[in-house]
Amino acid sequence: MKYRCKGGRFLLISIWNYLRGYVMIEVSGFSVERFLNLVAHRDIYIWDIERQGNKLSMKISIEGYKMLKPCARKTGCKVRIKDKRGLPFIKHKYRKRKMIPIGMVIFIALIYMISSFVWLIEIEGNKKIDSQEIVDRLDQDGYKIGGLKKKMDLREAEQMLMRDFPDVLWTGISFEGTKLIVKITEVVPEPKLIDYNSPTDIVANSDALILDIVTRKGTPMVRKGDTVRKGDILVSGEIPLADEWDEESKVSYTRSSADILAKTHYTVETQIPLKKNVKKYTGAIKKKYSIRIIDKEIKLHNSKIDFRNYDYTIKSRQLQATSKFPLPFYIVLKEYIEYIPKSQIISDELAQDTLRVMLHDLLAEETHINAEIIKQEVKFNKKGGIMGGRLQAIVKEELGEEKSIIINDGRNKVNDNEQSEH
Amino acid sequence: MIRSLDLPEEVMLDLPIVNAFGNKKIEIYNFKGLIEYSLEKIRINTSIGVLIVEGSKLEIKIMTTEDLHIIGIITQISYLI
Repeated sequence: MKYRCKGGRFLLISIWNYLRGYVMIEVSGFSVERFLNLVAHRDIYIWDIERQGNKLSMKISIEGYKMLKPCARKTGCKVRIKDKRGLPFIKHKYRKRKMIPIGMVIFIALIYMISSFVWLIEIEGNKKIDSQEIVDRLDQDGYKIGGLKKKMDLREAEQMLMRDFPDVLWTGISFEGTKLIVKITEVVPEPKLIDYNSPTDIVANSDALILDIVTRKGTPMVRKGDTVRKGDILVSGEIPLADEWDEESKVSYTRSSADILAKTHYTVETQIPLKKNVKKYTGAIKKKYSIRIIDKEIKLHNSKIDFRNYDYTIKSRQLQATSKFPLPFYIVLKEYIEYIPKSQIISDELAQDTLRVMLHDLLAEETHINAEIIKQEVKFNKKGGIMGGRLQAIVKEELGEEKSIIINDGRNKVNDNEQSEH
Repeated sequence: MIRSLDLPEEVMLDLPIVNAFGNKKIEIYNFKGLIEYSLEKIRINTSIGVLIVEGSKLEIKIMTTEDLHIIGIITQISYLI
C-alpha cells in the first residue's frame, strides 16, 4: 500500500522534473564517490545514480548542472552531458519560431470569435406552426443566423414569440454552443364538444331512393321505397306527446338518430389532353460544388452549363466543429440534369384507361366511405385533342346528415324536466 | 538526560536511520558520506562506523546531504565498527 503511494509520488516528481528540465550526465574519474559527496554537500539535487562500468550516470537539474564545475575540478572527475530533457530545452529549440505562439493565440481568438455567434437555429416541438414562420419572426427582431449571442435577450424573445403566436403555450430559448434552440409547446386545441341534448333532424344530403330506414330516436318522416330530394327531412327531432286528458298536443325535442340506406345517383366528369409534354432525361448530369460563407457563395469552378433545358437540385451541408458547434460554412452541391422536351401523343385506349381511374377516384371522394356501386356507365367523347369522360353511377350508401333544430318561440318546447312537473 | 528530554534518541546521538523495504529498497538518513559505490556494494560513512549494503544492480535513486535512497536487490546490510 505504502509502496503504491510512493509510486504515485514518483510520477508526480517525474512530471515536475520534466517541466523544470534536467540533464543526464556521465561522470568518470578516480573517485566518483567523493564527487557525489561533494555534490550532495552543496545541496545540489541529483537522482537516478547508476554505475556503468567505471562511469556513473545520473540526472541533475539545470541549476544544479551550472554549479557542478567546481565540484568536478576539485575531485578530478570528468563530466559529460549525455542528454538534455524537459520543457525548457524544447522551448529553447523553438525560441526563434515566434509564429507558433502567435498562431496559437490567433487560433484561440478565432475560435472564441466564431463561437460568440449563432450559426444555426433549431426549432423543436412545433406541430402546427411552421418552423419557417418562427424563424422569420425571430429574424425580424435580430435573432438570426450570424447574430451576436451577447446582443440577444432570450427572455425577451420568448415573450415576443408567446405574444405573436397565440398557439404557442410556452417557449424556452437557449444557446447550445453556436446553436440557438427554440423549444415550443403548442396549445392543445379544445375538443369540440358534442351536445347530445341539442335537438337535431336528419336531412337528406342528396336526391335518393330510400332502401331501408331504422330509426333509433326521433320521428321517421319517410318510409322504405320513398324518393327524397336534397334537403328533405328524413327523421325529425320532434316527438309529439300524446296527451289523453289534454286536447292540446305538446312536442318534445330530441337528438334524432337513425340508420338510413339509400340509392343515390352520381355523375362525375373530367378530361385529359391527348398531347402531353414529356421531359426526356438524357442522363447527362453536371455537378457544381461551391462553398457558402454566411450569405456569400464562392464557386469552386467556373464551368458553364451548356444544357438547353435542365432541372437542378441543390444540396447544402453545414460544417460543424462538433454537433453543438455548427460553423458558418456550407458546402453546396448543385446538380444540373439535362432533358429534351418532347410532346407525346397518347393513344385513345390509354387515355380512356387513365380517365376511368380518375373518374373512380372522383366518385370515391364524393360518396360515403362504405358506398357500394350498384350500376355504372362510363362515356367518352373525343374533341379537339382532348378526351373527356363522364361516369354515371348508382350507389347504395348511407344517407343523411344532422341539422340542428332552431325552435321558434311560438312552439313550446318541453324538456324532460318540465315534463315531470306537469 | 536524553531520556528525560523525551527527544528521539537518534537525533540527539546523531545515529543513522535505516529503513528497509523488503529487499528492494533502503532509505538511509543521517549519514556522513559515500565511501564506495558499485553495482554490488555500497559503503556509507556514518557516525557509528561504516554501513555496508550488498546486493546486485544497486542504484542510488536520490542523494542529498540527509537522504540516500538505494534500490536494487539487496542481500546484506552490515556495520563495520
